[in-house]
Amino acid sequence: MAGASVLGMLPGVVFGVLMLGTHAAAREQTPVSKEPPALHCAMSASSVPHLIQAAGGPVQVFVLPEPAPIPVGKFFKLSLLICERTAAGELRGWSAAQPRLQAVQAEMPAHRHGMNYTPSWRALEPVAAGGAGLTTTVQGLMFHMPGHWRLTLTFELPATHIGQAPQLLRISHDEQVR
Amino acid sequence: MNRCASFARLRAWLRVLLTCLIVATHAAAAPETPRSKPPSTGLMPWSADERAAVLRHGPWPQAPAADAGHAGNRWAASPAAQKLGKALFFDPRLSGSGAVSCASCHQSQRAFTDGLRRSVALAEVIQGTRTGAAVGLASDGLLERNTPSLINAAQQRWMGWDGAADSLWFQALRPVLNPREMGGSLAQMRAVVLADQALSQQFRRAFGQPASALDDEAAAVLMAKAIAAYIGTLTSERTPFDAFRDALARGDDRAAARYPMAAQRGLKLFVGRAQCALCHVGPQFTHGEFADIGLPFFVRPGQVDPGRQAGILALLDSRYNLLGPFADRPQGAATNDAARNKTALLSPQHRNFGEFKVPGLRGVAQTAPYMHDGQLPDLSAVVRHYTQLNPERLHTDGEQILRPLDLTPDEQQDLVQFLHSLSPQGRHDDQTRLRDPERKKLR
Repeated sequence: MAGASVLGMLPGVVFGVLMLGTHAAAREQTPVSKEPPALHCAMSASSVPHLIQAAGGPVQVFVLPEPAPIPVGKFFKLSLLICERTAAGELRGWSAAQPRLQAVQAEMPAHRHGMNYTPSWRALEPVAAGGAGLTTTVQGLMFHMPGHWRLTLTFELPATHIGQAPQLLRISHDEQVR
Repeated sequence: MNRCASFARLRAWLRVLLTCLIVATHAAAAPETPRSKPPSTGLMPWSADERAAVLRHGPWPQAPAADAGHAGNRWAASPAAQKLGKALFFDPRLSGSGAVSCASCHQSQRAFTDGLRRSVALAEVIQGTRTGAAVGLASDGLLERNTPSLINAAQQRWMGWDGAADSLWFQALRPVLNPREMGGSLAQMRAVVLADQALSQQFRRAFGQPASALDDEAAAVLMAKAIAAYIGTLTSERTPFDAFRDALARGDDRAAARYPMAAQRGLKLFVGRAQCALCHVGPQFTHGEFADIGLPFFVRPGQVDPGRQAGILALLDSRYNLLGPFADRPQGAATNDAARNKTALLSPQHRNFGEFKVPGLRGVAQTAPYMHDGQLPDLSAVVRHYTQLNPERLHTDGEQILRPLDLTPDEQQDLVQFLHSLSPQGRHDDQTRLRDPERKKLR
């Protein structure tokens, strides 16, 4: 009886498999806009798809584009988390003497041109309760051509000693946009 | 016994399934043309990267993006506004002389272009009551630029060759008020509606209030939004390219093989060695921005068309841009941000001088002549331009990847065939010419 039931279902199963195959072939990947995951200094870059991780001097940056992957010819924004990297390589939130995000630029090195729009952002602020690091969202970026883009974040690091001038720190990340 | 019968049925089913698979495999593998003839159809080998590059140009049709032509126009989807806009689009009473309408240059039978190298717009000049020189026209009585098609205009981020308008409704207002184009005025626009009972009723139906309750400017802006709503209905049909692209997307190589071989070869060049798809990318075949492609941009001796640079200045100077008081603010921050950001965050740069908008290529075979001033008569000339590009003409701050393509004559022809496949089937008329004798004498 059980065998008969299974066999009776076979045409439906075959049809279902064929339909499933057709649907799967016809379905296309479309960017899905979801609420971005919360960033924190202890996170691993591989734990969040499309998360960009870059470092320079004492600064470790986590950058999450939205939408992701970065589309060609459409505005996107970047959620930034800035953490302090200790000499031992440990990441932690900033306590005193916090850096300032001074510039967000992007260029196509092979084309020798940048973006057609000037991004905007609010000053870095501490991550909400329970977190660590500094965060902001950069709006109004557009990579208008496919290809190799270089994103550069410029930070002003405060003087840590009397008489020392603030230092500029540039952190770049290369992104292939398709 | 029952079990034996069940296994027999299972074997029978499997046999049927196997037979189906064998037939299907044979059918897919069978050539569509006899082997003795050179194949005019078939599927070229397409690498994964090439397929991905092709897929970026669809699917089609698509809804306009939040920052595209309908930005700031909450009436864009209103059938009543579209109906009013259509009536206004064809109404010459909006012009100063009462002789020129939007449709005079954007002719429906020519894919909403005029088929001329450069636009003839001014009613007074056509009627011979004013000279072109009196209003700053070139010595041949023409405007400086080619009339762009309006098809898919609602999909565009910037309007006009220089992007001097950031919405379709702002763009609809510009030629009406431009003394060198239609030579109308805000007061005249409103007066046309007030004087026409049918238009007055349509206006009230579209906007819920009579034009008489508004001042000239408010009424004229709503009329422009109605015209934009109508223009937004002008979208291009699916094309042979779309059928090919969608077949690739669903892995249907047999259907993809119906796309002509010459078009496939041209498409391979387009997304590959010729690098056309760096700028002509996406479902509209444009990134929607601006470029200097090494064309001369002298309007007359000693005077150049500054293109995008002047466009940005004009845009930011206007009260009709998306930052101004007439732009509707839709609910939803994301939509609002995207629409306003493009204008608020514009970054004027030195390289904008001499840049012009990269046009979309859908229906391109129907919109000859080509380029911002119509200096190239047909698609062959366009491909030849890129083949023989003179790097010396490129702006020093301009696009650094432009190089002569050095395509062979066969390759050029393939590229042209591909461009033809971006028009709906059977509409490949890039040689259309003006028949209107009144305009002919001005050419």
